[in-house]
Amino acid sequence: MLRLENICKQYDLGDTKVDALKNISLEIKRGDYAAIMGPSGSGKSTMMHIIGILDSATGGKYYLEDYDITALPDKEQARIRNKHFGFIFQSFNLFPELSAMENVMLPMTYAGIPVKERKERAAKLLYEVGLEHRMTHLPTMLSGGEQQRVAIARSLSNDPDLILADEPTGNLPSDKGEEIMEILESLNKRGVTVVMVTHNPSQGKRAGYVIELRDGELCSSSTNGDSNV
Amino acid sequence: MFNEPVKIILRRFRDRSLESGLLIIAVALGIGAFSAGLSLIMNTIKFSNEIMSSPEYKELVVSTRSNANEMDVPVKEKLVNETAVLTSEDLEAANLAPDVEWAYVQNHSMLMLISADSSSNNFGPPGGMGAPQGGMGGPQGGGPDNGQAPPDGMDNNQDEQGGPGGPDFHRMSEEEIAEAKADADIILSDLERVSGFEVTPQFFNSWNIEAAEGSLFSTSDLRGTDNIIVLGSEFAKLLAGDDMKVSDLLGKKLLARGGYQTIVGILNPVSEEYDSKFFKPYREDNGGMRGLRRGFMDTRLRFAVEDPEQLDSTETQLQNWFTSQFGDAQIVISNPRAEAEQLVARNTGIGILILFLSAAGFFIALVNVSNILMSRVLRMKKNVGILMALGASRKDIRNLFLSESLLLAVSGGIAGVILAVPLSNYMETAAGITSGSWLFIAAGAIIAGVLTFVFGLIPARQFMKIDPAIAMRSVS
Ligand SMILES: Nc1ncnc2c1ncn2[C@@H]1O[C@H](COP(=O)(O)OP(=O)(O)OP(=O)(O)O)[C@@H](O)[C@H]1O
Ligand SMILES: [Mg+2]
Repeated sequence: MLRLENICKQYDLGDTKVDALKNISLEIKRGDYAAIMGPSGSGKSTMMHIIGILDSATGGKYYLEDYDITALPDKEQARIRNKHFGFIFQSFNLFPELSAMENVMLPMTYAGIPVKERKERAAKLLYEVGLEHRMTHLPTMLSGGEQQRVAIARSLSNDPDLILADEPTGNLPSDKGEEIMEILESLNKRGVTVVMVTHNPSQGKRAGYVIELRDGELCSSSTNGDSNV
Repeated sequence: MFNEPVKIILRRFRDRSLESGLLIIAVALGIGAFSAGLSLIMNTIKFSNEIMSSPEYKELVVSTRSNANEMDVPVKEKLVNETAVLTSEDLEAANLAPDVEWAYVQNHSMLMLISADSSSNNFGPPGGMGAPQGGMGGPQGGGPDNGQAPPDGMDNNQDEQGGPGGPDFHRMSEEEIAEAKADADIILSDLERVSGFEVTPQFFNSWNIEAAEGSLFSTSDLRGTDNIIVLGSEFAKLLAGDDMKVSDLLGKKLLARGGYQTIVGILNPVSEEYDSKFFKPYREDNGGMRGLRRGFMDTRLRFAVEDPEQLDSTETQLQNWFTSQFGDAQIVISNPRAEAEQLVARNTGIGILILFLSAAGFFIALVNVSNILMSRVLRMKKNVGILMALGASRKDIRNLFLSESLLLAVSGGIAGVILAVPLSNYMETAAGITSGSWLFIAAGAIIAGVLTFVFGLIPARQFMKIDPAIAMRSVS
């Protein structure tokens, strides 16, 4: 599904240069469940941003479905993020001004889906993550676990091919984190590719594919037995 | 109704009601002040151009000194000081001033009309309905039978014609009125009185007035004794009423206290002031009351030039002529244009100052608004990153925040106009502008609204530049 070739990311801070990613080459196949692991500052988020086309690499090539998307115009990038990617963040990142339902509807606006359909689909997705009774609640009225479930519903709103989750359980107690993990695993079983950053080794073990980063370098990428790779 | 990104903006706007309210007020005050200031200066210029192009401001007015002074100088004092008397013959001064295009007399006059109804005021002409005579107004000098004249006959500031004294008047009988009513050639009006002018023919040339029906009078009519009258277009319409054509009035006799006034012409529309008036030939020897007339209301002579530039030299030439005729300090030549120009210059100066101040205030308001909007860029940074992650392009982001600027510009603009209308009305009334156009307020508000929007573009462009990867890392 996607392939990175010698991806580098360098931050130029004037007198010093920070190499956040150095010559990363890897491939993630459709249906993969990949975990990115590594110590803090090793470049995990940076890699997620590059994969999600929120950031651009300073070197190397990025192929998405064999298309070189290293230098795509902004509008195309936005369209790919909107239609093909779903983002889940550590700090949920829901809009506090919008209800749970409206948060889920938002990405569909950029896909040009009419309001009636947006509502129907948002209701269905919230039902799937077990929040049918919280649709009109504002994020501030929801628990952390509930907020992250709204965020998952939002990431699914345009039926993405790839879910990018940056420490989705990092702000949650372990039991709530487990609920999130189960949802992500069930999505993967339905065929959605999932790339997840985690600090939790047991979560890493459950992934089919583990990418280890250290100081911006890929130090190992291993396949676990139960993966469908 | 609104899509979700716009809802975020609107609800933020609502939740920060203090900040948003202050923003709108700042924009409204700025737009209001600016459009009122612009409207004032534009209306001042427009009004000045209008009045300056009037024939009134292309002429010199010659009068005797006592008459040029305040009208409220006691009558007796005036009579004592009076030595110089101007007559229409003095218009020949124009021969010595080559730039004078038209020279004429224009005096205020008044007709007291005989109406079919208001019998109490129906004082007929002397000698029954017989030969018409010159006079018409009330006897200001006060004849022995003053008491017989109606009260409004006393109000004679404008009534320059010393009419015959009381003894010749008689109250018209019902029969006489009925007789007049029956006569198709006689017109009785519902009006009690109507004001007009006594003029010499060049008045019409100077004002470029032409007859729509019938004819104007000529120099020879100045020496005649027939009571002829030319009507302004509105006055004619009023007299004709619904069941007569205006042209039917020609040759008819308007029954006035001074006698029949034969209608010889009807004018094209000229100006609001003249259309409701009548015009009679100016006669030096009017009703045999020459002396009395001189005493109260001296004739003013008007000399019109083609180009206002020629006013100064013409004034010198006329001054020389009148000094040689009447001696020093008897005749006053006034130049209405010079006086009006001073007034215009002063008003324009004040208008420019006000425009400058209001534009400065508007600019300061805009800078502040832009500043507040900029500080929102920082606060909204993470949200912009999230929106982009969810599929917003940079253009979507810019348009979203532009719609916020537009909201601000439009709501501030509407509130600004609501402020500007009474403000500019007040200023324009104070500046003596009667024909102010509201279009300038609208234009000012549109210009100011567009400027507000343009200033809103700066923060919106700033939003567009946000790097989503960096924005995602920011805390708020
Ligand atoms: N805008 C930036 N300018 C300079 N350096 C940056 C910038 N953003 C990230 N970095 C550096 O890049 C490196 C990788 O950062 P990144 O956020 O990807 O780490 P991470 O693995 O996600 O860490 P964590 O587990 O704490 O989230 C870090 O050393 C960080 O300091
Ligand atoms: Mg990180």
